[in-house]
Amino acid sequence: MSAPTQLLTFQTQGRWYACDLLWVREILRQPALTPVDRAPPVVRGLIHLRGQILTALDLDHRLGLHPKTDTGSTRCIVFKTASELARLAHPPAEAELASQDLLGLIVDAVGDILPRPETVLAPPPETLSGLDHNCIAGVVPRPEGLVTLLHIGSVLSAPAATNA
Amino acid sequence: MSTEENEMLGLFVQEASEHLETLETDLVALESRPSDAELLNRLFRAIHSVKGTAGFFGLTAITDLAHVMESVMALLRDGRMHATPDLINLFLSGTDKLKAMVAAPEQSTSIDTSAERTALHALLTTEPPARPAKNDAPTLPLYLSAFRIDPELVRDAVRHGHNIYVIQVRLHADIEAHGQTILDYLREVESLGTLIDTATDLSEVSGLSDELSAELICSVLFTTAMEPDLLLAAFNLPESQLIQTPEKVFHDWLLTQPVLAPAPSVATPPPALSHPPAPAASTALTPPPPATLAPPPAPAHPPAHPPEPAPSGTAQAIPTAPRAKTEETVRISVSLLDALMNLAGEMVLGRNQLLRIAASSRDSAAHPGQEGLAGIVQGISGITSDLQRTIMRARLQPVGGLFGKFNRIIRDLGQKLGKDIHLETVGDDVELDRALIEGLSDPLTHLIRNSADHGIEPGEERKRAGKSPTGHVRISAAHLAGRVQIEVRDDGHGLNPAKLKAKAIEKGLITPEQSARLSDPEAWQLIFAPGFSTAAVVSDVSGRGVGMDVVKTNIERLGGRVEISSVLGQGTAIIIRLPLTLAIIPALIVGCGTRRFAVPQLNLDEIVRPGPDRPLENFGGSRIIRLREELLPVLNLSTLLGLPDHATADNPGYVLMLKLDDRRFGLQVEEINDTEEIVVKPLGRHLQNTSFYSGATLLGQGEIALILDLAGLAHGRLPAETHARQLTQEATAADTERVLLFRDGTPETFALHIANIGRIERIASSRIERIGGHDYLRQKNGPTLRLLRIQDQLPVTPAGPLPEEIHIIVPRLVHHPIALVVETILDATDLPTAALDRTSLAAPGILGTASLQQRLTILLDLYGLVRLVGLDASPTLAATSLSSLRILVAEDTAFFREAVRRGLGDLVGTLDIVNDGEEAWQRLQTTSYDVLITDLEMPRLNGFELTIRIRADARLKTLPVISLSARDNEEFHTRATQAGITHYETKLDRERLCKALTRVLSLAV
Repeated sequence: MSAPTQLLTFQTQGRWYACDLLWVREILRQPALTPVDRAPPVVRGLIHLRGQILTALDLDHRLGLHPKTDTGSTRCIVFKTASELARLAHPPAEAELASQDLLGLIVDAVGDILPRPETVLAPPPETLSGLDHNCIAGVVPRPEGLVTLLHIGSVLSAPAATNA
Repeated sequence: MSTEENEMLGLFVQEASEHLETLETDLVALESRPSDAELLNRLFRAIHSVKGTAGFFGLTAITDLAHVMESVMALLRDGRMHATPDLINLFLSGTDKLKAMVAAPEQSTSIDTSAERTALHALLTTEPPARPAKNDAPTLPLYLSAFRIDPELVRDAVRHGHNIYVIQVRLHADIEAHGQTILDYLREVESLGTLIDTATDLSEVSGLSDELSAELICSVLFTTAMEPDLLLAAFNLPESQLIQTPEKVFHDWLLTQPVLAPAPSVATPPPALSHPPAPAASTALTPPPPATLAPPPAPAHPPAHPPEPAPSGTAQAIPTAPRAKTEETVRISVSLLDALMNLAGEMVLGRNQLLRIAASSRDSAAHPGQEGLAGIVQGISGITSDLQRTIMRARLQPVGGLFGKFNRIIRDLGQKLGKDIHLETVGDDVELDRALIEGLSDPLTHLIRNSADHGIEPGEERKRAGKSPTGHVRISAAHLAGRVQIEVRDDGHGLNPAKLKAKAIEKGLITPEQSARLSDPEAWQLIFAPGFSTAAVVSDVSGRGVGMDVVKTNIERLGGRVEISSVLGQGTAIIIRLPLTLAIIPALIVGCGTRRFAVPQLNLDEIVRPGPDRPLENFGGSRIIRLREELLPVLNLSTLLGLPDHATADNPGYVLMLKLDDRRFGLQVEEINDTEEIVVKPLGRHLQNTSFYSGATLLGQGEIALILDLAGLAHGRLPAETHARQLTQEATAADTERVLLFRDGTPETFALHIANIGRIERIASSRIERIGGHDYLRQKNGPTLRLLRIQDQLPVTPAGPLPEEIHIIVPRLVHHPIALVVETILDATDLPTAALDRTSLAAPGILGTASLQQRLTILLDLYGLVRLVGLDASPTLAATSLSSLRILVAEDTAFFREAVRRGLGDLVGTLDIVNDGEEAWQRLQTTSYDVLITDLEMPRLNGFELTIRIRADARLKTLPVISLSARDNEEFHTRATQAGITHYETKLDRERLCKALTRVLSLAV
C-alpha cells in the first residue's frame, strides 16, 4: 500500500486517529443526528446533508472499542463515495472498497492535517489494543503522542459485507 | 422484428459492459485477495453472464473467449488453480478484448483474441480446445459472414451512395412457384442493381424469420439505388425477407480492406443495365452457375441511376418501419441523474420553506410590495414539483422492454426443447427504476428458462395429465402495497417435494433426517440452496454452477425477497417482491415521541382513534382492537422500536388499520402528522439488513423520516401467521361444523364444537366444592369432576359470583374427569369453517373467532383448555419416543385437521396432513412415513379402501394405520378390522392418540 501524502487527524474518547485526506469530502460541525431504532450499533444515525441522507457511523464501535455513552455529536467527517473517488487522478488506497453510500464518522474533535508520515510503526497486537486489525494500518509517532492510522476504506465498509 | 433485435442488442451491450466493468474491478481486487471466495464467485458469474448473452446473439467471437475465461475462472473458484499476477494480467487483457468486442458486437469477429485464448487454453488440461479463431479479418455484421464480398463492388456502391441489401428468397415459394428458376431470379436482381454474392449457408445468419427455415433459402447480397419499399414491391417480398446494411458498416469495413482488391473492375466499367454481368454463386448448395455466367469474382459496374443519399441508420433497420420511431436518446450516467434528483429534492425543501414564509407573511398584515409574492411562490412550487417528477421519470423505464426479450427466449427454448410454450406478459407498462430493471434481467432470465425447461412438461406428458398441450408461462409486474411484485408462473408439473429432497440428499446438502423434517414449502426452498441446481452439462444456455441460488442472491442484493408457491401437477409460481428504490409515493407521516416515520398510503385502510365503541385491549401478550365485529391484532410502534410507550388508556394515540397482502392489522402510533408526497431514498448498506425500514425521506423542514417497512414490522409478530395462510387455503370447501353457543357471566360469547361435548348438565351452584383452590363436583355414578371456568384460563372479562343454577359441559373423550362451568346456554348453530378467523385472537385454548348470530364469538379449543389447566401430563412422557416419527394424516374436515395439527404437531417429527384418501395414497408413493392416521369417511377414497390398498402393496403393507372416526359403532369396528386397520381410535383425544401411537409402533417393531 502506498502511504498517503496527507493525513487528517481526529480524536474520539481521548485517542487520536488519522486517515488519508484524499478520502475526506467535508467536515460537519454539530450535525443533527436522526437516530435509527433497532439499527446495528455501529450506526449512530442519519444526517441530512443538502438533500442527501448520510449514514453516520460510530468509530469506536467499528474498531471494537466500547462506544461512549454520550451520544452527542460534535463533528462528523464525511467521506467520498465510490464515484467521487473514481474521479480523482490518483485514488487513495482501498478506494475499491467505497460504495455509493454517503458515509460519515462521528468524532469528538478534528485535529491538524499531517504531512506524509516518515515512519509508520506496526500496530500493537490485537490482544493488547483491542482494536480490529482489519481497520488499522499502523501507528504514527508524534511529538504529542501516538496517532493510529486507519484503513479508512475498511472502517467504512459494513462488517457484514466484508465478511460475507 | 429487427427493431426488437436492435433493442435487444442494445440491452446486451449495456448489460455486458456493466458485467465487464465489475469484472475488471474485481480482477484488480483479486490481486490482493486471491482466495476470496465471494470475489471469485462474482467474477465467475460476471464472465458467465457475458458468455451466456453473447451466445444468445450468436456472437461466437465473444463467446469463444468468454468461454475459455470462464473455464479457467471455474478452476480458480473451485480452488484447483491459484490466481497469480500473470494469470490476472491475462484475464485483464482478455477483459479488454471483450470490452472492445462488446462495444461493437457486429465487428467482434475482427478482434484477434487468439493470444489470450491460447494462453488460457494452455491452463486447461481437461477442457477441449475452443473453436479456432476464424476469419479475423472482416469487420462486418454476422449475417454477412456467409458472403464472399468484393471490396471494390462495395466501395463503388458506397461511393455512389447506393444501398446495400440482403434479400432472402425461398427457392420454392418465391421462385419456383412463380414458374421461375433461380437464374431468372438473379437476372432480375441484376436488372435492378449489382449482385455481390449469393449464399445458402444460414447457420451463421442471425435475424432471419423462422418461417423461412422450412425451405431452402438463398440469400442474395447486392447493391442498388432503390429505396427499400420500392425494392420490396419490385420483388414482391415481405419486409421480413429484406435486411438493409447501413452504409457506415461498409464504410468502416472498407477501411480495413487493402485497396489492392482482386477485382479488375475499375478498368472495365461495363455498360449499365442492358447487359448486366453475371453474378457469382459461391456455395455448393446454389445451383451450379450456367456457362454463360462469368466466374467469380464478378466485375463491378457503376450504377446507372443518379446517386441518392443512402439512409444512414442503425444496423439492420427495417426499411418500411421509419426510423422516426426511435426517439433520439443520449446515454447519461446514473450518478448524474442522482445528482439532479438530489438537487430537485433540495429545491422541494426550499420551496416548502418558501411556502411557509409566504403563508405567515400573508397572515401578519401584508408588507408593501408583497402582493404578488403568493402567486410567484405558487408558480415556483408547481415548477419544482414538475421538475422533480420529470427527473424521476428519467430514471424509470417500463418493464415491458425487459419482458420483451423473454418472448424470444421462450420461443427459442421451446424449439430447442420441442415444447409448445406460450408466454404471456402482464403489466408491461409498470415503470421501474432503471437500476432495478438491470438487476432483474439475469434472475428473470434464469427463472423463465427454468420454467420452460424444468417446469413445463413435454406435450405428450401434458396430454396424459389432461392439460392442453401448450404450456403457459406468465410473467407479470405490479405495484402492490408500496412494493413491486414480479411473478413468474407456469402451469407445468409443479415442484415435487419428495424429488427435491431426494436430490438435496444426493447432493449432500441435507441429511435424510433433516429431509424428513422438512415441510413442503421448506422443501421448495431447497431449489435456492447453493449447489442444488448446478447443471451437469456445460453449455451456453444452462452453464455450470450458476443456478437458483444466484437468482436469490441477486434479488436479495436488490433488497427483494423471493417466494415460491407450487401445486403438484398444476404449476409453480416464483414471486419476487422488491422495495421501491426510487419513487415519489404518498405517505402518512406519524410520530412516536420525537421520531417521525412515513407509512405508505397504499397500505393504509383507515385511521382509528380507540374509544369505548372500538376498544383497544390487551389479550395475552398482544393487543387487539375490536372494530366493526372484527378483532384485529395491533402492534405498537414504540414497543417494536424499543422506545418508551407513552400510550395510556386515556390517551391511546391512534391505530392505523393496515392491509398487507390479505392480512389486516393495526399499528398503534402516538401522533398523526400529515400526508405528504415523499421521495423515497434507499438506505445505505449498513442499514440494509434492518427489516423495519424500507427507506428514508426528507420532510418539509429538512428532518429525516424513516419509511416503515410494514411487511418487515409485521413479520412473525402477528399471531398464527403461518397457520392462517394454510387454513384460508383449506377453508375453501364449504365446510360447516355444529357448535354450541354459551356465555359465562361475561359479555363474551363462546362456542364449542358439539363433537367435543359428551353431555351437558344443569346443576345447583351450591353443589360445587372448593378444595385447594380448585372447584370440584362430586357425581353419584362416576369420578369427581374438576370444574374449569373460562375466565380463570383465558384473559377475558372477569365474571361475578355464580348464579344459583349453572350448566356444566362434560367433554367427550377426555381422559381426565373435568367439566366446563357455563352460566347460560344460548343455542346450537352451524359455523362455516371459512367464517372462522384464526389469526386475530390466537392464544392457547382458543381456536379462533367468528361472527355468529350477530355476536362476536370465541371458539374454544377444549383440549387446549385442558392442557392449560396442566392436566395433560402424558405427552411429556410420549414426547421423547414420538419426536422422531413421520406421520401422515388423512382427514377431510378442516376442523379436525387443525385439531390433529394442534394435538400432535409439537410432539412428532413430521406431521403431513392431506385432505383425503387419494391424496394420502399419492403421498405414500413418494414419501415414507412411520404411521398413517386416517379418517374413515372421506370423499374420493375412504379410509377403509385406502387401508385395503396399502395392505395389498408390497412396500407399504406393514405400515401401521390408525383410524380416527367420530363414529364409535360395531359396524365400523368390524369393517376396520377387516380392512387391516391396526388400531381404531375415536376422535379426538390427544392423550389416547399418543398412547395408540406408542402401542402401534411397538407392534410394528
